[in-house]
Amino acid sequence: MTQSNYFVDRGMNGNTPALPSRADESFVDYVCEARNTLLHARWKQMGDHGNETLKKHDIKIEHSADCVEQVRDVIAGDMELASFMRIKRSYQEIYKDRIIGSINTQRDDWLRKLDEAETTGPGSLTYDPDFPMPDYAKVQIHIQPRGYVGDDLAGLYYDCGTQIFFGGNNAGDAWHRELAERTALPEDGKVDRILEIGCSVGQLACELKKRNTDAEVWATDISAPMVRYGHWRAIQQDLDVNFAQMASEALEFPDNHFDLVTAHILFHEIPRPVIEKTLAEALRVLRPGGTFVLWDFSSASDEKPGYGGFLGLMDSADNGEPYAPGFVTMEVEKNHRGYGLCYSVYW
Amino acid sequence: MLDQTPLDYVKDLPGFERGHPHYFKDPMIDHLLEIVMMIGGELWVERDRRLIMEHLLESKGSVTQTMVEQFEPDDEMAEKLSTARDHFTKRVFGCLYDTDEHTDVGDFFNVIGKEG
Repeated sequence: MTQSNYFVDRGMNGNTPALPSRADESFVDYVCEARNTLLHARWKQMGDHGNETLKKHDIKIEHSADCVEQVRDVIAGDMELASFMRIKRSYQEIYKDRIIGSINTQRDDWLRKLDEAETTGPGSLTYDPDFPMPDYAKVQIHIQPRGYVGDDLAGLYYDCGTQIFFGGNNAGDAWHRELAERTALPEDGKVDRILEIGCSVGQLACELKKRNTDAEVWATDISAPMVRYGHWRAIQQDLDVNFAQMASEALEFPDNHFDLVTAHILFHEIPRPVIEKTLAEALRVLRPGGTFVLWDFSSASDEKPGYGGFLGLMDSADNGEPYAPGFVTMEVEKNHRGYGLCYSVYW
Repeated sequence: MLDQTPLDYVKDLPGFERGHPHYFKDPMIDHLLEIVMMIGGELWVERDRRLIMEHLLESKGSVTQTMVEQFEPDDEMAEKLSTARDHFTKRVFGCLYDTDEHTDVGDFFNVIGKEG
């Protein structure tokens, strides 16, 4: 049921629509604040305590359902760990659920806006209602109900819901603007065509367009709800960006086509076999002398990855990150050095 | 061309489904903590609204639902709300810290209000 007639227009918060009510906005602001205060203050301590406790129980961490169940038994016997994990999970749940519930009070209005934007520019939109969605993409990523491919408003949920990931305030896409400024361009200076793969709602693609105003910019994602919303969002900024539904492992572009290819926090969200194919595809569509800039966790297993140990395992299991453990030990940089790959780690 | 070779194992990976994990031996403790966190949020919502209404009454002399919904704080008011929220969180959850340094934060917003 939509109740939009009862709400006033609350405008935009930077490039992201404000939630439909002040109450919902203040609730999620509180969750961000409380989460950051409680979890960040105790993150290292709880990580160390968790690792030591598992060691005492002779549990070797491995990414499997059996191991997670063993770890759950240990957590249940340790009130401190149980409290920490409960708070972490609950804040993620109530944050996501409040945003989705709030947006859905205006669901019909949003669906109409996205429909109207489909034939509007600048920029373009291509997607297939009958896209053969692979199973791996149906994950309830970041515990978002119906994931990123199973709800027509998933892009809007993502836009509002990732504020907690970016520390609670990414108004105006400041995070992505900084990445766009730090993105290495080809040494010969030629930047006629840019591609962002796994673009979600296209924040980095849009900032790259602002930095390279004459370039033809493409933003692709396997999720139709993401590219549909990304197209609407780019229109609000009057940006000529082309959005297309496309699997990262099957890019529908010619060889040697792009001067710059980038992927932002995509690789830890896809399984290893898909990562391998995606790397091959990204390098196929990249011209000789072009750059492929990858922004993600470290994948070097010998660098004590930030996503290891007790907290990494439980974040994977309870925060909808099933593929991250596979990526963070994959040695992408070591195995793909050269070929234009610039690996940029910011965690 | 999209390779449709199924990756059968992915659905069995921990984290593929959202699920309903609990962390205490007795799930009722999980539920109680969930309720406490939810009530904390709802209490802040009421406090936030009251602070905005007081601000509007002082500055405009009247307040309507639309004014509250469309209220955009200036930098000073935004900072006050942010600090009030931070102190509120620390008062409520201070017992979970190792020290009591965070539990003695007063309700500064109302003190400023009286001075104003």
